Amino acid sequence: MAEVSSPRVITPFQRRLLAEAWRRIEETGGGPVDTTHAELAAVAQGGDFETRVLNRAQALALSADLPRALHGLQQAIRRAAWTLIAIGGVIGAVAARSTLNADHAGLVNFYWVLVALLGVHSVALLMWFVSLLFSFSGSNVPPTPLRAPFEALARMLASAVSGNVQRSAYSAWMGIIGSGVLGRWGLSALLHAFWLAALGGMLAVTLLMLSARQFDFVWETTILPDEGFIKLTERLQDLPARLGLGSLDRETILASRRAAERAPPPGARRGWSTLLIGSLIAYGMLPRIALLAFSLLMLGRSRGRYRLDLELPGYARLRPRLMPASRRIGVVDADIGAAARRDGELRAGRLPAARETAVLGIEIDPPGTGWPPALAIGAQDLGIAVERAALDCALQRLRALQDHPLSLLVVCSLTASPDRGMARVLRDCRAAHHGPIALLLTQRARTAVRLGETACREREGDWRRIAIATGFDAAHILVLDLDDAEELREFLLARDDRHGAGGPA
Amino acid sequence: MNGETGLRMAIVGHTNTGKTSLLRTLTRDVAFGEISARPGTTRHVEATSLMVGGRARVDLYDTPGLEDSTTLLALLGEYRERGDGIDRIRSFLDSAAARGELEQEAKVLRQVLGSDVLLYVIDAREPMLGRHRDELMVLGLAARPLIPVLNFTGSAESRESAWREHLARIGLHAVVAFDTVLFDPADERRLYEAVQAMLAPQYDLLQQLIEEREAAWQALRRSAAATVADLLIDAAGAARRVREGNAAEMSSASTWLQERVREREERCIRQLMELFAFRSEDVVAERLAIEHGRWQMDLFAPETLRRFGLSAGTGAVKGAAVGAGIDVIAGGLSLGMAATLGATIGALWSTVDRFGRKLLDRLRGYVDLRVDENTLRVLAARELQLIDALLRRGHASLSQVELKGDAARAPWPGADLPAALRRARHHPEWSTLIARGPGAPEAERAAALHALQEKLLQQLP
Repeated sequence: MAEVSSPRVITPFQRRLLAEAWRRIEETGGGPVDTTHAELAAVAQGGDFETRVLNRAQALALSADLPRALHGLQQAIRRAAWTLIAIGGVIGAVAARSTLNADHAGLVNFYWVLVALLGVHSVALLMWFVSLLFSFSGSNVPPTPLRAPFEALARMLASAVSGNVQRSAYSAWMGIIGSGVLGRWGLSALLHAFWLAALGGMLAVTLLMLSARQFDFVWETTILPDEGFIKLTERLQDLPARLGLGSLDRETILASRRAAERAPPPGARRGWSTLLIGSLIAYGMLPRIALLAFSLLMLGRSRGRYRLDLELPGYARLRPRLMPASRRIGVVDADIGAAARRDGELRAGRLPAARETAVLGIEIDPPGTGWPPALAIGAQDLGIAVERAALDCALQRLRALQDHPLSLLVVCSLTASPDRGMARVLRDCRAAHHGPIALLLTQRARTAVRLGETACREREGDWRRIAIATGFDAAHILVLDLDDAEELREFLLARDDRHGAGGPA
Repeated sequence: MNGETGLRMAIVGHTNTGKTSLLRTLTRDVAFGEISARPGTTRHVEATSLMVGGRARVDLYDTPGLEDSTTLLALLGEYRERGDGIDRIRSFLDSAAARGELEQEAKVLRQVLGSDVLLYVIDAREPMLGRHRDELMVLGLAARPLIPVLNFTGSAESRESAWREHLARIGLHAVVAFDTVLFDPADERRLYEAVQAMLAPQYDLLQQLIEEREAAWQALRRSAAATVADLLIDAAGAARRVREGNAAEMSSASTWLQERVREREERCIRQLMELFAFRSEDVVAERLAIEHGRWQMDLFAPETLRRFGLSAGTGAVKGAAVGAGIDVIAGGLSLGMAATLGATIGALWSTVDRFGRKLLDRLRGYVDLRVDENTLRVLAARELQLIDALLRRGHASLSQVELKGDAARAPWPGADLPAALRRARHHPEWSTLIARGPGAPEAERAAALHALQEKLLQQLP
């Protein structure tokens, strides 16, 4: 997956870093508006969600030249780290130079030099250890001392960063490298490298000065017993001696005690110098080398274990697009004669005038106001048909009544779909009856609740259309909620008024 | 299409029972097909495929509604001498009627014969009618495993138990309730389990599907909670330093802060909509009084607080002086702690540096202006309410959904805010609402975010 235009082969960790930086760019409103192409490509490449996020980010980031920015940033940070290490070397050298100074008698206090050279290092080591324990306990209550040089470095570099892409790359880099487990080991490695350089500088200058100048190492005490110093020196020598850097014997040590009347024996110079070098290596550089190696190892491991936090909104929002639950196949059996449909006109209906009315319910529940509906005077109840057999039976009865002057009222519910099956039922009703015929659509309120007002109106239009198509008179289609006693009463009152007004005329 | 291991399911049923809705919900594809309350909206067979293990393995076919099953059944009856049910269906498909009036029914039956299992969708609000029996008889001729799926079971008019009884009497016992409007992942699982029970050879495939869906559902819940946690941390940490008593400065800073938090909340709503693959102009938003991606009721209006059962006695942006005071005390604490624990000079220095500056500012009369605690509670409550609605809502619901808008209560009533949120209040550098320095500690913020996320998850269904 190495891109031709990317500056170098991208490791999995760098890919994640790239995705992090890209997330920041997108969150600050950067990046292209249309990311569909990259997303489709990422879906096509497959893999788990993180892989897809990484592929998407890489494809998009490439066009924004983010990999180059990130690479440049890494180089800058590497340079800064090397500068810091070089400074460490110089500091070590200066420290060694100012420590190794003979007094007017040409004598040098060995322990004084040793403490001056290794003392700060030892304290710093202890501090690092304590802060490591703190960071392990999961708390970051006291900011670790590692953070101070890091933040200084971050501020220094930040001033050199400009442009949205660069800033996002920088913020991602610092955010990840500077915090958590990665930050702990990264900063530890930097710290140990710094101290290693300092100790290296010390060692170099010490060797140089020991080669070019003559020092007589002595030890002295006012209140401590001599025996203690001898023991201490022997203990101190144990470790360097294993490296072949310690050869002082008891007599030489004793003979090196500072005394006014005599200089230390000439053979002791080499022994003390060797011990000084040996101590610098054994107590200074070797632990630092070991810890540096350990920190780098842990850094490598935590880089390998680093995963994107996919629950962050910046990533999670991509999930529906990158991990689709389904893929459309498309129309497999097309509708050839797609009929154009249009909305019907709505008109208030009325019942046809007739002496007697036959009432037939189709696939409805008995209405709340009772069955047969009170509006049909002298009703012939044909019942409610909920299946074909019942309908056939009712239509049979209807045919038998054909010699009466009869009107037929078909009651349907708006909750039902006016489909072709229903159209056939209406057509059969129409065919079975020669007199006037009306359609009453009930349960409008319930339909409106179920479908919403717009869809309910559409359905009403559809019902009218199939009714007209099957031979109903548009004027004889009425919408009246038989579940609603109040509405029914109003309808009857209005009808009686009309009758009353027209009657005497 | 999928080779040897695929599974094909046909969604069949009467018109307007929600076949396309069921498909939309199963596929999480809000734009699949066309839905309306009118009959015959779907007039063709449209297919989609469920992804299992990153591959399209389960094909779903959305068929037109069976509208005239009575005629169809009568016609199939005429082919009685042609052989078994499948032969009779084949004879019908070859007939002229299959290209004429019963063209849609023919489409359905063609698809039925090409499928491994049938999902028969029923509108549970309707009574069981003759046409349902006719439809089931026609489908029975195809001799495919058939699972009745009761839709709209969440409706008050649902006749679920009556339907179950009726279906049992004609030998259909593996009935699944699946409300496409009020979505419940357990229903989806039961649906797939029912298919699993009927199609033993596809057991593993369906098991994988069930597990992936479950994992995706959990990921969705977790991500939603993290999205809100992100908002809360941003809002909690946002602070503006102003001179105490300078009314003009205070009010302009307060306006600034309120506007940032409002914008941030809008962003959160957008993120949640995107996460759930809903469009922000969606019905959910409308029902919850979200307009143009923004809650209609202003975050800082006292009425909003009252709605969530919080007292609206004080201003929305406040607590500044108190906050700074607590900071100084907290600073003293960690100072002492650091000292006693023998922590480092660096640690001591930055603590002194940080809190010392705060103390100095305090003495100079500066205060930090912040969003108050009740506003954070309202933010949490509103977004949790939105998530709740999004989690429960199927991808299909076209009709209106009753959401318990007024039942909402602010989370953590009578208790302190979660520790992670209280900590965020002391970390302005965690907030993205104010300019952040380089190397803002991501891991620390992320730790707080995930702690808060867990607290929010407890508030979700």
